[in-house]
Amino acid sequence: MSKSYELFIGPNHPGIPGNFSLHLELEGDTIISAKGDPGYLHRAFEKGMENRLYIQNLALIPRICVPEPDINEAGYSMAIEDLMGVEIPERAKYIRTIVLELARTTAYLLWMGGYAASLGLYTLGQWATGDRDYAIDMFSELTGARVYHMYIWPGGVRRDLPEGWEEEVLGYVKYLRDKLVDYDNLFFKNAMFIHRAKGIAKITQEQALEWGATGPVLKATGIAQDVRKDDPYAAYPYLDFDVPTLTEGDSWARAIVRRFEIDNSLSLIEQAIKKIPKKGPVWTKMPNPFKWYVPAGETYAKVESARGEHGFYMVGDGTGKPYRVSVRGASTPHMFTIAEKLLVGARLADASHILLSLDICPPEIDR
Amino acid sequence: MDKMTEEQYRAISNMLRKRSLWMLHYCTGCGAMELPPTMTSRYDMERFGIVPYVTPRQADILLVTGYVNIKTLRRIVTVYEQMLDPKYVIGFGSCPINGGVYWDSYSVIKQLDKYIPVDLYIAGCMPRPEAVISSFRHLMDLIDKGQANGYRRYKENYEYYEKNQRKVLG
Amino acid sequence: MTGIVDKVKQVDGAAVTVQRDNRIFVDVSKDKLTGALYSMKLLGFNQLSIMSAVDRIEDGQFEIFYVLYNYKEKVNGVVRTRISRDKAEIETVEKIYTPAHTYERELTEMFGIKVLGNSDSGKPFILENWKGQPPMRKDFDSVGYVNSHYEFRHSAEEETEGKDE
Repeated sequence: MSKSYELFIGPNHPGIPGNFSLHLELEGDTIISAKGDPGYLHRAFEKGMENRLYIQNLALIPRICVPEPDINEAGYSMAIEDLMGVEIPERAKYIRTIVLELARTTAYLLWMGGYAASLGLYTLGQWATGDRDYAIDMFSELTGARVYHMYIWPGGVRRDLPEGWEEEVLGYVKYLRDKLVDYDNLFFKNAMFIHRAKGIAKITQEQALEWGATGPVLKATGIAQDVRKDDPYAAYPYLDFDVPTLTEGDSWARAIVRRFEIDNSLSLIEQAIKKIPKKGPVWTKMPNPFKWYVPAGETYAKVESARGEHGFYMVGDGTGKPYRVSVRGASTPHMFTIAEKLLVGARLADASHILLSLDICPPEIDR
Repeated sequence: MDKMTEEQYRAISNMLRKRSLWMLHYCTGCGAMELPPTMTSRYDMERFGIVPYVTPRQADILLVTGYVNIKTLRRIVTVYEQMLDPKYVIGFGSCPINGGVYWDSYSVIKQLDKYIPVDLYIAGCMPRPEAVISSFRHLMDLIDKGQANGYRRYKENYEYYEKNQRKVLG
Repeated sequence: MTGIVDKVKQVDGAAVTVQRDNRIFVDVSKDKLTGALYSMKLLGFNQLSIMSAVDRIEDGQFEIFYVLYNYKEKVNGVVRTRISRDKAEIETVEKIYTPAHTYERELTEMFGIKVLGNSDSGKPFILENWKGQPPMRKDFDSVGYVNSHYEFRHSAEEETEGKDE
């Protein structure tokens, strides 16, 4: 008689980050094999983009990754700018940086709520999601939308900052800094969290490199790889920041790296607001949007998302529609190469904790 | 008690039902992004007696948040049939209404109400948390008036729904 | 940057173009692909960012690309190869780059390119019960498929018109 049994977790399960399903095989409560089952969010982006004009795709592109849509706009715009040979104005570079960092902060705050909830602490979710909403208010003021901004577009950004927006953002940065002390006391310094997360889902540096980890997962093993430093875009080359790293490589280290990344983002927002040119254009004059004929050629543009390297491989063919756009989400290797291996040998109660410690974003996998 | 007519009984049960709606915690699409703010401290839908709940058997509301692709539709139909009466479906965002931006996508269905009965649609991409809460309030009114009877329509027109489901799910 | 370009040029059968700073495109023929990827890995390109295909239908070919990253030199290298559309088959590279396993599954599903040596190639991955042509091929007609499988909602006006008849 076989002692093992099968268990399907998701897609309808609160411990799963989004519409995604896990097929586990267990013995007792120890996982002996794990398989991810994606595709519940497949919307055929890559096919749809081939049938639309470049400007129409701008409405499609932020929907690839919901918690942090701006990285998609930035990556897509950078790919077009690269193929067309467009330089964006200085002021636009800084505005992009501010928007991207603010979006990164919101993504981490949302992740924090889910991560703490996976360990049984729901208070942090209430706080972090509430504080995230104030950043969403800044976005509504800037772009008119809460979630899908469509603000960064080829050639720069869609419009200039509204009056007084910088001060509001600085106020928010100050507010969040004060709140983060409370977060630390409640969660990141909490003995329960440390005991529960230390040593869970540990990966070594060699494994991380071999399995294609990027972003906080790789930084938690001690490799300071960050697209913002290695292949700088927007205004990152003018700003001063360090890439936080830890060497443990476990769930705890990944959480702490993300906590440091929030500090980093807040400091980058402050620096960018201090250094931003006070006047100047925010958009390089581009041709009529219905006539963006992107020259034939291939390019790969990448940005650093909250989860790792987010890339766009774009093939232009001289017409108004892209010939092929291939999207690289950081979650694909994190889920199918790393999580499937890390879940083996873990306890069932840790399964959703491990997934959240890798910050899996299913829409990025399915596209 | 003996003299209570069926109408009176129904009115009272509707009044009680609308005060405690449990929403199934199933993020079917990107609209789920506006649910954390709606659930947590800032908008706090628990004020209205609505809480997320994890299993279909105990839930009253199925919130279809955004586009429904074929693979998800199969799960949505299963989940919907697992839920106990009375049950209500809210279509959230533009995509369940007419496909939204995915009108030419081979994997996204274009009208949710051909496959399961929908009591209420919230338009917009994405609807703001205020819109979500207002739609819940509207659903409460509908329940009070006895007009949110999607689950009865599903039983009465089961052949119609089943035919449509079979057509796309195979 | 120039140092690594020179090294990449030594790779067997490689035609190297430098697109811009930190982006190298390496074209190889199909039979030298595995060797080229292995040499690239030895040169320090240890991360496979993405691999997928481009359907070059007018040439009757698929272009397979592998986006690699060298984190020491901070250079992206894109290895490309072309295979015939009629006999769409490639060898797996999951022994060299572990994440390729997933991307190859997706490749089989979306383009119908068979991946030899990948145990999961051909198993359903993202699509469920998909029959017929792989959807990412250029000759797959998305709008035609939608029109034959789904019904669009008609506006209220159209519906009343229908009732009047």
